Amino acid sequence: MALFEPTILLQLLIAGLLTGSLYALLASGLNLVFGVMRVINIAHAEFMLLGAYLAWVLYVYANVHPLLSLFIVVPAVFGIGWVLERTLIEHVVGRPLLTSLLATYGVSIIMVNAGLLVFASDFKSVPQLQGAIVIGELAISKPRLVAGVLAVILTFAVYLFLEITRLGKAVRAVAEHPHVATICGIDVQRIRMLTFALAVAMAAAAGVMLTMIYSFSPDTGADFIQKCFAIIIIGGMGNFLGAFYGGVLLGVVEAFVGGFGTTQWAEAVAYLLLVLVLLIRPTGLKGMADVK
Amino acid sequence: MSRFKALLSMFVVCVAAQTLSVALADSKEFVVGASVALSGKYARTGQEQLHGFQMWVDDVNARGGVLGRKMRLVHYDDESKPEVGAKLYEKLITQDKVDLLIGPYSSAVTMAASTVAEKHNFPMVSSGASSAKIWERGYKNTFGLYTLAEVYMDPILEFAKNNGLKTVALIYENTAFPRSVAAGVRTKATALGMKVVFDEEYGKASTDFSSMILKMKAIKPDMVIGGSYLPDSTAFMRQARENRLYAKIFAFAVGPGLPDFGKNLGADANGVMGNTQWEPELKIPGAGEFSKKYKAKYGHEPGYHAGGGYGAGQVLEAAVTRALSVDRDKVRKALYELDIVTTFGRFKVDGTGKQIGKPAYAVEWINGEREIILPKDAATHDPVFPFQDWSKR
Amino acid sequence: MADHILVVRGVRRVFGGVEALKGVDLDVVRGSVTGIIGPNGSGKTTLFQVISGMDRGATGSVMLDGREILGCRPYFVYQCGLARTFQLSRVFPQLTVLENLIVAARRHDRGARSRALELLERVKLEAYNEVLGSDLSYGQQRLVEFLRVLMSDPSVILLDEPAAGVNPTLRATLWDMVRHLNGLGTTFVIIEHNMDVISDLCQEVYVLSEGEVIARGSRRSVATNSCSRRISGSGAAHERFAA
Ligand SMILES: Nc1ncnc2c1ncn2[C@@H]1O[C@H](COP(=O)(O)OP(=O)(O)O)[C@@H](O)[C@H]1O
Ligand SMILES: [Mg+2]
Repeated sequence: MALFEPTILLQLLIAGLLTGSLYALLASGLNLVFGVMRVINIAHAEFMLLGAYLAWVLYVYANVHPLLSLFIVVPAVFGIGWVLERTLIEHVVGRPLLTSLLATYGVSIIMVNAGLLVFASDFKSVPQLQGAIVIGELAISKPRLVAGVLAVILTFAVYLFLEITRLGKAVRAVAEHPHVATICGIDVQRIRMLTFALAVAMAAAAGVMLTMIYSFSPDTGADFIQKCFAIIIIGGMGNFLGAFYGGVLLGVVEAFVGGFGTTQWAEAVAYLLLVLVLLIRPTGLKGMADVK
Repeated sequence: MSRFKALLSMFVVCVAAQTLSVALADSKEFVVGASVALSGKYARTGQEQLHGFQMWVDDVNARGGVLGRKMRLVHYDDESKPEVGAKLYEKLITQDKVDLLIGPYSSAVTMAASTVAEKHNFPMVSSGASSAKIWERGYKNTFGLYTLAEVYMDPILEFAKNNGLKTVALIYENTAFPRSVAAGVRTKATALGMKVVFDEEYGKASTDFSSMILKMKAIKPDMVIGGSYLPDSTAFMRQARENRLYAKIFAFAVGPGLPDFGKNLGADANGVMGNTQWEPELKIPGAGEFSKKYKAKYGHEPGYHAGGGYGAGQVLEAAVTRALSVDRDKVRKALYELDIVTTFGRFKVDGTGKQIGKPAYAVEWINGEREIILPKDAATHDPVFPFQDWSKR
Repeated sequence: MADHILVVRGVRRVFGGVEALKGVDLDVVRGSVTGIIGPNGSGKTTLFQVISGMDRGATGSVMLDGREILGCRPYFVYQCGLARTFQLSRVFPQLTVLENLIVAARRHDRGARSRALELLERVKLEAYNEVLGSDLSYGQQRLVEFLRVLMSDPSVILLDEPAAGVNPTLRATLWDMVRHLNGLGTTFVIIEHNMDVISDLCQEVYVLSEGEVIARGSRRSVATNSCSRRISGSGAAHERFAA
């Protein structure tokens, strides 16, 4: 088999990078929430699906192209996240990890079942932006290319926000020492609302783009959240960039394992990678040593 | 105080009325018990199946019942969960003391429910399971209605063989039903003298098939068969297009048989073949009439789950008529002997209760419509072959 | 009647069965430096926790410039003009020194960056602008923490043993800064064990023991009364200074 041809290797690499950047967009939000609030949001992937379903509804009932609906869906989910943080998540911040796990697990169950009630368990998808760009021997999926590039742009934009802006610095300050941040005049609760809203909005953006790549149903989230957990542990718990690297790494490794081994191994590779990284670097690629 | 008395007396009246009606019913009715998935994963499917049951009950009673007695349906929601289903069948048999049993939806819940039925030696017509494993446990009381997963792809493989195709690429999800489909494909392909040149399992969560497709492109199989569900079959076809994978036939076990396949893929669905247990348009006696009535009553076309629900009722009806009683042993014997054609298709089981009479029906997406192409006597359209190359679309 | 910027009345704080503060009164004159001394566990840090809003389980009253702040959240207290440091230094380890200062600026302060640079230059830490908080020595961290407090230009600053663990050079820089800022009108409340510092800086001194103010007095009386040294070391002397 002519697997080692440069075009095939390049093809695998591109596929991996594109899938990986979508993982990265999803996982870095999850990790941001964990970093700032020490809350693992089990419902994170459900917010991705919320974004996907909103985009689907907009497409089916108002004929809005998913790329346009990003501008509606992302702010809407941001708002939902803002309110949910204030009304529910805020009450479990600072409690033992199990409490917040249970709370977000509850949110996840409610969202999945609401999804089943409203949309049934049928698989939805939006047939837009289909096909591929063909360059010689190379074929690059259009929806994946757009999704991958947008995912990188969005993740990078959030990263710049965290690094450069005053508000972003405040978010990082809260992540490191919430008590100290509060005596620096930072309204920690507002920062947490912002963080949570931002993270679920990122997930929703990933979901909107997912509609053009994959068929989803209300319980599709489970597959994604498992990968996200692996990614944030690989990348380092609580580290925004770590999750980004972890996501891209996983995407590429999956593609190559799928190419040289089987797609089934590719599914398991997240966990093998996890064990491997933890053996070499117990705190993950960019781990925080101080997280218990 | 008087309000309380009023409530109390109302309660007493209600209880009395209910007891009375049960007592009256006992002498005049046959009670059919079933658990139905009305919530959880299979809620939608379960609802359709229930509609099928109910329509059959109405039709039977309009005809004057069976053996001169009316039918009454008792059903509970099993939440699409095997453990709940098992408990409900226990309840149906021991507390509700039903006369006849219809099985639940999905292979998993049927697995659990059939064990309960077996324990009580109570024959059960299963109307929502297609995994052969159910009939590999030596049970004597589970009677299948659905075409088995193992033969899903037989008509398409035969068609491929007749059109000179020689090599098959086989992919399937690593869960029970798709594995059964794959096992059937291997057996049938070998029997037909075709060669399986690519054989790969993938994880349940797979969303990215591009690596698989790249490998397949290097092998250039004549046809691609997927033991898959809707999300993976649509994802595969999308990526097949994106990566310019070409084969003369693309066929998937579940996805293309569903309307959502076309909605999700748009024009890219055209030419993809698949399988269906049943379609309203199938040329089977009674299917068209049933579909019309169903649509008039519930406002939408019946899916195969509805057809299966109705068919399960018809099978019970035929068995009781043949047995001249609802005696469990006599009904069981009748079920083993039956060879009839219901609205859902032929019913004939082997010595284990496994369905062997009902053929697989192949569908193909043609001009945005799902058409039945095989077998010929049931077809609504000739197969469109070969698959049109991506570059010519 | 002096002009009091911070007035604490009857502040009580109970942890389980332990009464850490048993009704503390404090009157801080605007523009003054007030010292708080007392043995370990006498409730000094707890008093700061309550005043700054970090500990919101206390009863009583804390008036800042005539406004009740007891029960307000810490960020709000900070925005009202009261800032503090911690007994154990806490900079943000993954933020640079410059960022450590900028996060503490007032929300719409456009000059935050230049102000931070200016402060760092003042204490000769300008070479460390881009160094991460975690890479500083302990003394430097304390200094950065002190500068951070200055970012919002607060009217009252609470310092909890600011010189502990700091080398003599940096310590001198710190006290110089306090003196300088006090000269510009900033009010300070300082928890400190070093009596020389107390007598040098403070116009008024409170002695806390087992959650109670057992003595308060002027700088002069502290300097001349040997009792305070004893109290500061071992506590438990119920003696009152002449005001
Ligand atoms: N969070 C807390 N929980 C229980 N007890 C506390 C807490 N904080 C302080 N204390 C107790 O309150 C008392 C005063 O402590 P503290 O204010 O730290 O004293 P100081 O700063 O004067 O050394 C001590 O007995 C201490 O154990
Ligand atoms: Mg202390």
